[in-house]
Amino acid sequence: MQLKNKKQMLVLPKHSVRHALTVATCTVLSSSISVVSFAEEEVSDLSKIGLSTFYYAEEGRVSVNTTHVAIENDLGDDAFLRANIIYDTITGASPNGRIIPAETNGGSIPFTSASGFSISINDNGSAGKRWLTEFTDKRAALDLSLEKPITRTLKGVIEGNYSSENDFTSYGVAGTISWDRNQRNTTLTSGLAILRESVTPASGTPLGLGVSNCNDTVPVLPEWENCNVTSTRFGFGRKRMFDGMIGVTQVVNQRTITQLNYSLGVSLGYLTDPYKLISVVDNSIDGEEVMILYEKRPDRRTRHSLYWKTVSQLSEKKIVDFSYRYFWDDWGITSHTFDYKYRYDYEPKSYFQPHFRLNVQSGADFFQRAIDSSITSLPQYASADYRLGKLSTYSIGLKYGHELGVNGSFAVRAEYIRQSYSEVDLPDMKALVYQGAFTFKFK
Amino acid sequence: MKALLNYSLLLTILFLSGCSTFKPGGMFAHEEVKPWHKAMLAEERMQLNPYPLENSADQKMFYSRESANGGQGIGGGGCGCN
Repeated sequence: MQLKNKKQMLVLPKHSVRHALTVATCTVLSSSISVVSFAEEEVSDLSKIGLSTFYYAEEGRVSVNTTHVAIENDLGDDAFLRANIIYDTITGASPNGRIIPAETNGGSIPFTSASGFSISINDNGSAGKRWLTEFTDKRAALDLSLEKPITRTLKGVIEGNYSSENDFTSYGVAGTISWDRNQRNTTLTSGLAILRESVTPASGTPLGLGVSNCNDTVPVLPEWENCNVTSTRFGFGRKRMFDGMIGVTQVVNQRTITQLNYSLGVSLGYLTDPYKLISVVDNSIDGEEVMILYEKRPDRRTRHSLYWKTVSQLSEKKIVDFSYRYFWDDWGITSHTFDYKYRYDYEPKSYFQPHFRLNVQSGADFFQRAIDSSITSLPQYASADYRLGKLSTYSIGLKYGHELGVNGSFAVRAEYIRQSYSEVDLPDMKALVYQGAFTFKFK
Repeated sequence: MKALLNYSLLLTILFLSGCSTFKPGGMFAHEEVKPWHKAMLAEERMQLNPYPLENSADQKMFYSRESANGGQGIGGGGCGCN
């Protein structure tokens, strides 16, 4: 935003004519950072359209196909209208939280798997792997935003978004204001966002830590009596999220720009995943699973993050882009995320860009691999969702990009991702990602 | 812990590979930057988010596989994936 203004001041003559609403460039879905047009010709008020196809496949688990159309319409006078349309198809099997028995042929599991309660969930698990739940889903999302200068140094962005899945709906609004200072070398940014979400399993949401299924073991806790009777169901789960952000972007020198953001978020309401389970195990019989409960999470979560990013041009051909995020919340999770990209323009219009990313996180206070059947009372909260446990994820990839003339570009990339777990039985998750993106600018 | 050390070592190597080509004074050497000095910074490849289509896909992908999210900005729709 700040740099866009600079560019238009320095390189691009302004057009006073407002353009009609025609199609144009891409913008990021979840960031308020804008995109600067880089053209060899002195043209201004370009609109852009971006198209992307994205394929993500985990070994033996989930695969996702995403089509993304991003449009930016230059309204003139530094105002932009942006739209992002995203369509996902998701299929495969996801870990449901149950333990993996020592014998993986299914013989050691004393009962059928958890009841499916989404219209798309398969009761049988994935190829006998009852710690996985098969599902299919589709997601459509629309995001509209308007960026407009308020004064010569103040700029505002307002945004509305909506997304829908078979069993999930989300809608929200966000607003960001940025203030250029110090000859536009410093930009102060602050923003607020409100999001409302509802999860709507076909048969309602389950009772937290209620019984999903059990065998004939004599129950210990009063809650587990009559455990073969389906536990209580409730209506839809609803939650609200409030996010605030303040940040500063600083031009360090002619080739380096850096950014520091602090974000605070509060989530309220039904934060439990209605599809996640937790095993109750009997350690007197080698930790065999004797009961399955639904997980239960607190109904409030406060999230913080510090995010630092720097982009620097090392030479005409080399650009380094790295970021670090420290995340912590009141569930006890802390996370460190490093991201590093190194762009090398081996020809004037072509480049390669290796990428490395690492995330290391600690587990939530209430995360448990399983619940011991000998307990005398149920915990207040418990989840065996691997995403709330201690884990590390690394990703390594390579991208090739090429400019088509002065107003078009395309890029293809591949990434390999591996996620390792410390507190659950799951084997490492390995995934491959492919993406192709095309961007075209026009008046 | 060992894995974390290995990752840290790899990150350091990657970082230094970029640093090896730094100009004297380093990337964080402060300079007075006038408006007419900003042609390089105005290039699309020098923006903080130069590839929004990729960034959007990555954010959602990792949001659905990890507990931490956000930081870059605010806004964007929700997802039932986490």
